[in-house]
Amino acid sequence: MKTIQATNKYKVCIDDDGQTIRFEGTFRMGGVEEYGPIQAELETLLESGLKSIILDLTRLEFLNSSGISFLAKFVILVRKKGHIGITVIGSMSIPWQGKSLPNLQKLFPALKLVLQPAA
Amino acid sequence: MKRGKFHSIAKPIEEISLELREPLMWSICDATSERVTDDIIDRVEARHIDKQDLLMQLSWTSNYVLNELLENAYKFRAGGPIRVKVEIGAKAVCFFVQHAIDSDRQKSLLRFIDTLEAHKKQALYLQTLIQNSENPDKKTSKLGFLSMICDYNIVLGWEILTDSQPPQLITKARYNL
Repeated sequence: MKTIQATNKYKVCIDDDGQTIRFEGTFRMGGVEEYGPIQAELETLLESGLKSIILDLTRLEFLNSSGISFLAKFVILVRKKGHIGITVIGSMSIPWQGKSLPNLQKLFPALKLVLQPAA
Repeated sequence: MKRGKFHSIAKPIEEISLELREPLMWSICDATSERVTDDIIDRVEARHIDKQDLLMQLSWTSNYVLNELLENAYKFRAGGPIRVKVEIGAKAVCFFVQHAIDSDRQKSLLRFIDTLEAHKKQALYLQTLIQNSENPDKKTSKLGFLSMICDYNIVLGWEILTDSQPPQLITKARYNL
């Protein structure tokens, strides 16, 4: 597993399969531009010839509105690529995910959204 | 001057107030929203001990709303302290965040409120997400208020106190239990 960025509050890493990106912890960055380094890594990944990508958010406890904007931007980028499938995995145990993640599907109807039931 | 559809609680049962003074750091948004949310849940829990889902939804909503209101206050205040007040009623919780505001920010906020009132909120939310993705140089997402309204069913209001120097902005958010 490769860590893209990690602090004592959050972690973003890519599984060894090269297509699953895991977000963990609480993201409360100060603005859209602060998500830039993660965005750049993900964009590089999209250029690597992937056919599908998985965003695993099941351990993402908190995301502020700048973070929602960052996720939406990435999903729209995948949509524009036209040939990459995307699955977003969330958890109903984390209430913000049930509220906000369906918006991603409205931006890209082909996105597969999996909301795991609350434990 | 008041804008928005916010209406306050006629008879609050409990109230929480605090003032955040300079020097303020970004982490104050996170720390304060979590601390105040814990305080709200402690006070509400006694009356709704059998409603764990209500308490969980309130906890997540309070944390999100307070964090967004404090992030806005931190970014856009014209110096000075940030005042936070929470009123807890039998059927709603209201959040108030107050800070100084300059004339440029006042104009920008009023333009945004005009836009908000002229459009369907869900459509504007999606449109803003798309616009943000097309404009990488944009410094702010402008999603905080829209996500509160669309994802958390928050009723918002704004009051600008022009008698104060500098003028003060109070952003108000109501969450119905």
